[in-house]
Amino acid sequence: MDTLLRDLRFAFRGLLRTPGFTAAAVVALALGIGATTAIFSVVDAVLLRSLGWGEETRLVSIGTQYEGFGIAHGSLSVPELYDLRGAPFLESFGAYNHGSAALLGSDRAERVSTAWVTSGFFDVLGVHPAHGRAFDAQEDLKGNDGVALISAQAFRRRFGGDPAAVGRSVTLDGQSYRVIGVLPDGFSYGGPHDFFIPFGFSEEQLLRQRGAHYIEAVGRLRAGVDVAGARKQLEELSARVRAAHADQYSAEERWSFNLERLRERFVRSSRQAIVLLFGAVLLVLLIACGNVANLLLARSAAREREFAVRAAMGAARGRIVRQLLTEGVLLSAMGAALGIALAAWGLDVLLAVAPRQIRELAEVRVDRVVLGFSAGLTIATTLIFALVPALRASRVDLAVSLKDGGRGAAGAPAARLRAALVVAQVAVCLFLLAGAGLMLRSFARLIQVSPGFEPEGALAVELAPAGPAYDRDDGARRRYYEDGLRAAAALPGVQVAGGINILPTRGNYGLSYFIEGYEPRAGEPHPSDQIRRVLPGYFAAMGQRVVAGRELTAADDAKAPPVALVNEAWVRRYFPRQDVVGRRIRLDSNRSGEWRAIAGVVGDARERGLDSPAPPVYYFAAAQHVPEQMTLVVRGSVTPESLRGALAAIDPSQPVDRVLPLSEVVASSLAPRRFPLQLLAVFAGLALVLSAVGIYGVTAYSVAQRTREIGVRMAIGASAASIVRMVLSGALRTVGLGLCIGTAGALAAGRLIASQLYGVGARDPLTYLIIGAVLVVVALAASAIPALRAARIDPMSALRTE
Amino acid sequence: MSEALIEMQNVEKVFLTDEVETHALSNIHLNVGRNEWVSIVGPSGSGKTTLLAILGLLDTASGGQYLLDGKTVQDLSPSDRAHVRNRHIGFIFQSFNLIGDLTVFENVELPLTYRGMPPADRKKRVEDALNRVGMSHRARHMPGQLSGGQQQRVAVARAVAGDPLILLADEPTGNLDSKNGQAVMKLLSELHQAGSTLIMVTHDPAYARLATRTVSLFDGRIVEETGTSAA
Repeated sequence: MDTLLRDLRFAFRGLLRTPGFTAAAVVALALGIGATTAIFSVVDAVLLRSLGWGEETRLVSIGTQYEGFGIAHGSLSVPELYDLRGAPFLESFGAYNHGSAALLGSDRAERVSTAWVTSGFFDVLGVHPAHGRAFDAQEDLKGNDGVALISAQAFRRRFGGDPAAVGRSVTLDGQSYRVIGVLPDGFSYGGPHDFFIPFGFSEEQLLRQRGAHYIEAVGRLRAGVDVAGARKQLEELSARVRAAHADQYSAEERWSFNLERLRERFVRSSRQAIVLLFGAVLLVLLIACGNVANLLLARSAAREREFAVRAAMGAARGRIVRQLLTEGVLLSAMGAALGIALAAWGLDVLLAVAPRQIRELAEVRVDRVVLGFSAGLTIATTLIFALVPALRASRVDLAVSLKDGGRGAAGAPAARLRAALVVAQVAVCLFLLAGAGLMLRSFARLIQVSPGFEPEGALAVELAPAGPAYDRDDGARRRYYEDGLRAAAALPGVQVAGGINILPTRGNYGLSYFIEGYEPRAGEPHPSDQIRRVLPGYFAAMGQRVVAGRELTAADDAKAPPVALVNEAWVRRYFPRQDVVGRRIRLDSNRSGEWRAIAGVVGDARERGLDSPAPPVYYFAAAQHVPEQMTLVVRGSVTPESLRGALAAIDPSQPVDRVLPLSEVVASSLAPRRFPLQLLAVFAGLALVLSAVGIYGVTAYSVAQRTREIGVRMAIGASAASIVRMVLSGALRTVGLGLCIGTAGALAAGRLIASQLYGVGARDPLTYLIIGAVLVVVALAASAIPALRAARIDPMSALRTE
Repeated sequence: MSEALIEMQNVEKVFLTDEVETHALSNIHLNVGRNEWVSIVGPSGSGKTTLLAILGLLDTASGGQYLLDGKTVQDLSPSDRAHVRNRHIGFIFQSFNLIGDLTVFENVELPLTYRGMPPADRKKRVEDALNRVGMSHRARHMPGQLSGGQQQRVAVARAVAGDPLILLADEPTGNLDSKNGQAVMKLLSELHQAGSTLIMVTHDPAYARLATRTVSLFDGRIVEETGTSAA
């Protein structure tokens, strides 16, 4: 202990006496450790942290898949959910869906996040209310479903944490619910929901609505059953269900149940991007370690005589290594402390710019696990950056080092090691820059893609009328939408207003249907395309072209002959280069089975995002096929507040709180691409700065070591320009080698990032050329200061040195 | 006659540089007895410092035999050599080689810490050593705050603090003015009179004459010995 304290005291004193070195090393480590800690907290929250529901290996998510359509993860219908009662491998199962509901307050309605569940949902997860009780099986059914559970957060926010909240009533979507319990603190599933209410399945839903898929099932496997065994039994169950309902499942869709671990359901969509970012940030940390190792090597060379004196006094090699590692640990600890502070601050920034689509990010925090990781990281980084310099420093040639003016062992091998570290830094930096560059070019291509409409100068507002006044009353909803459209259009400054049930990029909803005069080829699935329902003026409000026929108008009301529009992709798909106006389509259902004439063709909109080609879409008049919700699009100079006010006045019980510019709708569809790009760009920038510092450090040290040689060169006639050229060419040779290695590595690893790219290949030559040029310019800039310093060396004073 | 503390038989040192052999030392036979003061003299490049480095186990001989206090030391492992240096050898360098980040006290204490000596014992030994060289009043100072002569006295204190078998001094006055040089030589004389065994490399014939025996080197060979061998 005495020795350790001495080592620590000496290390601390030594670091204080060299503030420049200490600051450079601590900042480099703080950036590396901080960035790694921040991203690890995301990895931990999204990929590693226990779901908190016990025996996680037994928790599964059950959905459906349609191999014939290439759909791997679909939802369940109510009958399919209850088919799971025939699954002997399940100990329990429950159902979940989420959305929003209008909570009626004292003055106006508010839209709140709501989850619909069955009683089995909480049994599966082993979650028990902190106050009150959970749902029972009877409450799963319509008529008994007027009960609600509230989240702990809503309990505090809305009821002030008063246990008397249990027993009170709330009005959601116009229906009264009695609060029967409060969920435990910290519980969330698929996002923060204020209210959990029963599905309230009707007999019709239980028996007949096999085609309405909107439920996600969670299950707990029986003890001793693994996922593979459960899948096998589920295949058998799927076959039985298909056979029992052969009229509902066509052979070409190849429907079956699908089962995966519950964790997989949460991380499926975000895992690749997060792993990619974690890999990137580890590379930044490696570059930082390389920098610090280089600084330590230079410092060790300067302290060579000290180590020789210690050895002469009887210090064994291990003792010197320990002393140097103590210094390394101290540096790492300081870097980690600053890094964790940076990580905590960086996380706030990161969460502020993170897309809402990654729900698990809400759980990100710097906790004990993250701090433990940082501590481990600190030890690992110490070993990476401090061990080699320590081992080298402990291997001094005593006889030479102790001579007056002796230079000792810090010669060519140490210089080679320092150069090798810079080569590695440049290679890793190029690797990261190439990744960021490719994603940047990809993103640039993407934002140049026309969405098929004009996003600027329009507002979008969601309307979702709910409650007894609207449920199952198409006429009431239609009137609400039409009143809303009129109110919006009447606002001063509004040029045109329209509406659609699903805005482009905001969702998918497809239905199978018949097309008059079109027969699928053998083996081809029945037509099933995206369906949208629109209010008059929609295409004009969106700036979407009408290329043939006419747009839908107010005259296409419930009493008028049913009509439809299709888009150009639909025409290309089914009747290329033909006039389709006048052809007819019919939905594949009993309820809306009448034929509809195609009245016009509109331009394509990127329904699934800018990176997906426009799919075939057919449009119905909302008045003839009334949707549950509608998004109004209002073009003109109007403020969100005035629009909200005008719409809220129509029915104060319905919330109008989702008003946003149409351009934001497009921008938010790009968020899942923009977010990793932003982070990767930050990491690549960090890598570039750290590499520049590394190049500067090695060049400056090399110039200092060669002062006498440069003096001799100048004494025998070398010009300042030739000295500058000599120094710069030396730096460029090192950087060039790094560029070659980095390019080879990045090209080989291109497939890692290929899935994140759009419109640009993983081996795009222009990107590599630009990145290479940037690195060369940065290397020249970083080497210029030492080169100019070398050119100003006074030959006489240099030759007097030593 | 005192017993031999150092016995070197046919010691040689060969450096290989770019496949060229350079014989730094050849056929060295040297015995040093307890309480002897041997000065090693010779022109630059004659092998004085190399011989001192081998004597101090800072370097290894290419051939021959070296016994220190009756034990063969030329084949010891690096850690065993470090152990012997720590216990039995004290060094005084031309350029003092004090560690700038340690106080005077800590510099003198350094070899004792490597020995694993308890703090109380270390403190007493350091205070005694600093008293012997007249530097106890500067114990808390940093080396940079001392004159060259004072630094060399601290270096002498560091060398004697561990009570070594032998003190090796490489040009101990080389970086000092004549006044400070004489003071350091006086200090070495006092140590010798107190029973220390000294081997000193020097260029200065006047200082060489203070030793009981002088060994002259030329081209890596002992060409002359004057004085009386005690061993």
